[in-house]
Amino acid sequence: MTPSHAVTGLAAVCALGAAAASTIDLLQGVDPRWTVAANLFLAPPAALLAAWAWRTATYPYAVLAALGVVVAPLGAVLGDRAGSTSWWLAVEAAWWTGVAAVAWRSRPGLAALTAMAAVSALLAAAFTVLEVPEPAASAAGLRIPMTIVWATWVAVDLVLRPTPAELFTLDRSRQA
Amino acid sequence: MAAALLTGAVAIALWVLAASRPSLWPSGCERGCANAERSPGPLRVLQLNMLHGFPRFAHLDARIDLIVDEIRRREADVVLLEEVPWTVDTGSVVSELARRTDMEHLFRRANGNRRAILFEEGDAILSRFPMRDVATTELPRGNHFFQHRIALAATLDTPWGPIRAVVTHLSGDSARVSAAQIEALRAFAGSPGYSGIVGGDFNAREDSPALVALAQQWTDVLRAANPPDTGATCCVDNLTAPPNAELQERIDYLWITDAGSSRIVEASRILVQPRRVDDGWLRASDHAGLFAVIDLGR
Repeated sequence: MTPSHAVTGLAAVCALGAAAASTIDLLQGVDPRWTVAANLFLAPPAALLAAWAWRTATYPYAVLAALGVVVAPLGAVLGDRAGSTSWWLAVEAAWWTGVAAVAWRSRPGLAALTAMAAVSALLAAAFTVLEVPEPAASAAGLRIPMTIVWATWVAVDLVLRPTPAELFTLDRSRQA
Repeated sequence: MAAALLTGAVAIALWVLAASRPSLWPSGCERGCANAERSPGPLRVLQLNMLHGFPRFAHLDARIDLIVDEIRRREADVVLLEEVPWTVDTGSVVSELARRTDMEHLFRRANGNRRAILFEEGDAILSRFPMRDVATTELPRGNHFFQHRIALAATLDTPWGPIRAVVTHLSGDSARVSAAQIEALRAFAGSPGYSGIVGGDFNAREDSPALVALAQQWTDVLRAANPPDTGATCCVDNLTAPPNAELQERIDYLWITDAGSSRIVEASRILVQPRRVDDGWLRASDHAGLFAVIDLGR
């Protein structure tokens, strides 16, 4: 196993950890430590995706995709308030938009799912800013199930197609 | 791409299924959070369905103030609450009540899901005494897919020895569902070998077969009081209606499961009438509360 495979494998395991912690957080909900755990587990795959984007995508998309490095720890710091903090939700939506754009050609499945996750986060941010009342505001909660399936998809995608060359070589010519 | 779309659909299905589920386990602070000295006297118990008010949460902040005032005024040792909400604006209402009344607290979500739909509600126990041996159960389902009923219990270490406190909110969809839930509740409350206090919104009238059967095994505190108070406890439609709005039926109860040498010093409905607030009248809930002073005889 090469170091790049080991790093990719570790990120995949962390992504699965994030999915598991988010699932418990969704089902239990009362204890913000699961929110914190889910966000901390998201940090390694977010960093790997940022590294991948930085080496393969043009700057605007690479910068957006790199936001995950900030979004995950900030989500952990916010804990219970993450899901109702509009600016954090907006940054999360921007991050996912960047990842979707970077992945669009080489990983279309990941790109499509990430785009859906971005929409769910953007919806949550908008609902929070506009103080949309219940029951319409309930739709803002969709971003957590989206996070669960997204993190699971990332883990599987990284294991099935680790593409270390993409991750550790500098080639900005591949993405428009 | 098709797999990704299918996975997105799975996320939506997961969201719908998680939108209203009992939480996996109870939460709160069972011991070590309350510091206030209790005033002397027998055990004081307060029971209330506090009305979560989803989706508008009308007057929720002001109603929380009324409930805090009542708990303080009655110097309640044990408070059994149903429909205790969590909302984006208020946060955890049980934590707020516990903080403002300086009591230990336990909560389990019955319906909603704060992460999935930004709202949840459930049953709670506030206690002046430390709690242990926390237990909870999901009661048989009623007729509504998104509606769940639970019971939450804890043993309270009081100056008179241990007391089992149980809170529940039954659905009362039909006689069959009511009987099944009451039977499950009776089994859940069990026989701990010391007095138990069960409070809740049973959504069943006292002449219903299940309640008649239960009353043969447990002591209906308000009926056994001298004088008894078996007036209606539910419900008013308009929380801001002036005094004398009629309550319709008696569906909220306080029970003693193993009376032993216990003596009911007093018991009555509370919060029956609205309170004066800045811009008119306001009730704490659409239900009346129940209050009892019980000499445990130990």
